[in-house]
Amino acid sequence: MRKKILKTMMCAITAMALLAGCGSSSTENTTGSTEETVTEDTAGNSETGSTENTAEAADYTGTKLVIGVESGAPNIEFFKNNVSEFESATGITVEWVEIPHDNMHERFVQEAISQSGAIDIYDTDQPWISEFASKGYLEPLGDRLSDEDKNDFYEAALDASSYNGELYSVPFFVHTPIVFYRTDLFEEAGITEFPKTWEEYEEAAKKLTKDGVYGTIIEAKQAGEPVTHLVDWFYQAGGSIIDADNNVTVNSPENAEAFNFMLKMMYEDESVMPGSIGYDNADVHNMFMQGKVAMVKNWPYMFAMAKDPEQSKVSDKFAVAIQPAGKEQSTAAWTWGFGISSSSKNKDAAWEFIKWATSSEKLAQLGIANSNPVPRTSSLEIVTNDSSLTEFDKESIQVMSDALQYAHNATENPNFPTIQNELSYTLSGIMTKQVSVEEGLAEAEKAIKEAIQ
Amino acid sequence: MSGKTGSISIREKKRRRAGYSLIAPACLVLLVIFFVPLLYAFAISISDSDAVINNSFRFVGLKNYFSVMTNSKFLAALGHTCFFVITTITLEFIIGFVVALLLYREVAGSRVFRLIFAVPLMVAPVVSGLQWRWLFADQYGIINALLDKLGLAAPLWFTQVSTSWVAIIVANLWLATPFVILVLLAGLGGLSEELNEAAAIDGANRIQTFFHIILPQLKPTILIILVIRLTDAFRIYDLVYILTGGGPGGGTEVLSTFIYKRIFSDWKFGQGSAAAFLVMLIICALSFLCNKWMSEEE
Amino acid sequence: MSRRKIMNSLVFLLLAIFSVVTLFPIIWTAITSLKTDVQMFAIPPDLLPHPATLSHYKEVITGNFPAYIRNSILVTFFSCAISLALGIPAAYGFAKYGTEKTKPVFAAVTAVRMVPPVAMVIPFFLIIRNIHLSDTLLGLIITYIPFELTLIIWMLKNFFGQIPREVEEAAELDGLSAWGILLKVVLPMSRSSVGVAGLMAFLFSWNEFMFALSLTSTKSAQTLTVGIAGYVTSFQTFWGSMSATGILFMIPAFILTFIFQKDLVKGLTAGAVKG
Repeated sequence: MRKKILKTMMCAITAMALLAGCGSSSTENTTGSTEETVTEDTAGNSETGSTENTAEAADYTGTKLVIGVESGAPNIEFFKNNVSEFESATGITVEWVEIPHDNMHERFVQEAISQSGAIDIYDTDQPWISEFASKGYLEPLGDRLSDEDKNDFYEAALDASSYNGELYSVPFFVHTPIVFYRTDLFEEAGITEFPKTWEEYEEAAKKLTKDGVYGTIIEAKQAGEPVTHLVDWFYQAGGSIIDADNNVTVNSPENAEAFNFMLKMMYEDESVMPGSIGYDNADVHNMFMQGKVAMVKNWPYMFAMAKDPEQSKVSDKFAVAIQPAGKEQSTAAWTWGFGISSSSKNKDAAWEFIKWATSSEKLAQLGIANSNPVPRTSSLEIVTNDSSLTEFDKESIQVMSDALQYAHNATENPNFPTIQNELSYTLSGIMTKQVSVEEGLAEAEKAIKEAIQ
Repeated sequence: MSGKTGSISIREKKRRRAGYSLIAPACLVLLVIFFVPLLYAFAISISDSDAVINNSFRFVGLKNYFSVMTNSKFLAALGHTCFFVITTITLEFIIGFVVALLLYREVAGSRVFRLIFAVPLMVAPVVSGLQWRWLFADQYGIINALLDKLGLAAPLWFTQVSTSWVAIIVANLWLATPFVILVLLAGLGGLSEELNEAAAIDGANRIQTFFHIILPQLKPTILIILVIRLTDAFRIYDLVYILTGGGPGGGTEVLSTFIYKRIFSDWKFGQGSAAAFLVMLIICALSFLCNKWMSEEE
Repeated sequence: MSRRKIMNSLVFLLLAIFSVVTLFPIIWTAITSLKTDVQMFAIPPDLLPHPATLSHYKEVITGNFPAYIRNSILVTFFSCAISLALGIPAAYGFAKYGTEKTKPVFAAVTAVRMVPPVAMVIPFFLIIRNIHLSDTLLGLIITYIPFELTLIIWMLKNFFGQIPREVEEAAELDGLSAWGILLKVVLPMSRSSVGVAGLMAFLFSWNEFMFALSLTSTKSAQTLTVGIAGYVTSFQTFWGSMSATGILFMIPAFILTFIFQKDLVKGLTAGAVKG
């Protein structure tokens, strides 16, 4: 009987090999044609590029720009609603390729490796900038952005959009997590000032935990977003992931201290919502808006939702603050921006779009529409002078912008998505006590070293 | 081949030709549409990642295969997947048989019931994953609210590996069992009634009838379900990705999520493809064994 | 007699319980789709929407939903039709005209279902892009055919294999060719099996997400699953609109199953492959 199995298996394998043999010639053809098209494309591209450069005022009438964006994101909705303004001014038509956020990276990887230029502009989530730039998939933009503009953007914003000192994306959005807290509960608990240090934060969380409301949430779902908050904890403890000389520094006493502090709040103080270990930012804003938690660290996007009584039960009972400091006052800065695909055939038209979308005026409008921090000083001025915003809005936007002073780029390494993925195991494993802090960090350091070698 | 022609009767020759004419169109289409990309994927698996990144193939032999096979995350994912496959398929068959046999009785309203049991098939795994994440949510989720009402301590589903598995398996059972029910029902419909009647006259009780008369006749049906479900369960992706993302702490990482991460977040295209071919080999071997096992028992 | 009645009531009761469990997640999705945003996240959850709102449905229907559903229907219809047209003869051929030579071919066919699709995304993406079919319905149809085809061949080979040889021999004596027997004799008596296989193929392409996501770009080809996934953003998940779309998404599949159900029952009660 065993012989029979073997025989049939051999038959199957031979058949597959035969089939494979037949197929191979056609694959070669396909790959062959890819190369051809690619070379043609680049040739055509440099030609058109040079003619456009020499022309005084380029005429883009009839040019179609394809922009790959996150579906459903409020900042993209803003650009979509206003793009007709750009289209009528330039004669360029814009087509949006909308991709769910969870799948954007996967799709952009495919687009990039196809080098077909099917997408001209990528809506870049910051961790991807170094990654794509290091592989030559993004067009350097440093020469295109004027010095005046460079000075106007926050340093943290441009820094976070750069790789090896070169700019690869112009940010339309820069943010760092801040703390949202319940003013009414603070008053009840007799806390007059928002905690400035970890210790004060811990004390406050303990005091605020009562009557079914928890002090805070520490996200630990095994996913990318909670890792961004972990980076903040590391930074505040004086730790890091990769140092300036590109050494992996995950397994450090500082990072261990950060984890021990988080574990203490979670398991000893019990001031952290117990489900936290399975949460990401969406759970965080839901819990906060339902009034189940007194302080949460989250992204500025939550502000517009939390103050909307249609969605929030705490719309008039909260305020925002800069994250408390540990050994250091520090967080990671994150941007969303537009970058040009290096295989785009419409780079100059794409730059026209970016200039329009990231102009001081447009970014101010975006900030006002979504109550978001803005990445340009001049935009912030417009926002603070805007009469449609309340004092509360303005103060809050100011806090979000001030928070950026302490923010740094965490994603300079082109393998950041891999690092983020590894750290998601570490975070979730340690916080669910499947591994000890020491084991978890040692494993992470080993895995990251292997992955980025 | 031409030398042998003489020994084959003209009728047999005609038969064969008829057979090829039936099979050929589908095989040609498969060859063109699927085996070309499959070959491409295979080429990626024996090259370094430059094959994809810069479109320049560089043969590295079986290096990717070895590095995957010695990767502890791959082995863990393999273990998790096996655990998942065995658990879910066993439960699917138990529930599937109970429901199919109940439906087979043709009680009042059985048409409506049939329709109801087919409903989960119409829900895409992506949608169902999101739906179950919503149901299992620990504060605003209805499952925990109902458990609370019943006075049961509701677990925080996604904070432990064990309860995360419960959530994944429940969601998967909901999604996959209807297929088992439906095909079993079609199989039951094809049974010879004479045999059942004969058994009834012989005075065999229900359980005896089930194990000695119905089950052996259903063998081909069971086999097809087993192999289809085995291959699907082995490749589970959407549900795990949406419900747990492979967590907590990698405790629910399965083969497909492992491959996905290798390819799309690590740019290790070669290793991802190699892992996929290893998975394919495992599934091939398993379904082959199923086939063997089923035909041997006869 | 009365014992039979008791048994029947018991069976009915059990089936009713299973039905409730089966329908519950969908009912809950329906309830969610009618809630306002703030009510949706109430802790503990409210059992009924008050006030009920149709705003999510309104939002969905005035959005891209009509385009998505059109694409889903077209892709599913054509990929299923082509797969059935190719798959039925092939399954019959493998089942009844199989030789030692066709066995390995069948093994290779079934291998299609054993590759994790994740690994096939990049090859398909690059090839479809190179033949300029990306973001077209045709590109998706082509991609889905192998998956549906193997499912159909696989399931039907088994069913056809159960048909007693005498049936075909009688037909052969009447002078029918292999194709003639298939079309005139075998198919009419295998309606339910073909139906089940067709339904499985339908559901595959109706529910497929991974390829749909990577092979389409705009609403000219994006299908409903891609549309639904778009409600999960990095900022928030739009549960209301997503639930509403989820409910609307089921309707065509439900109608089809409903129509098909009668046929299935007929096929079953007639003793589908009794010979």
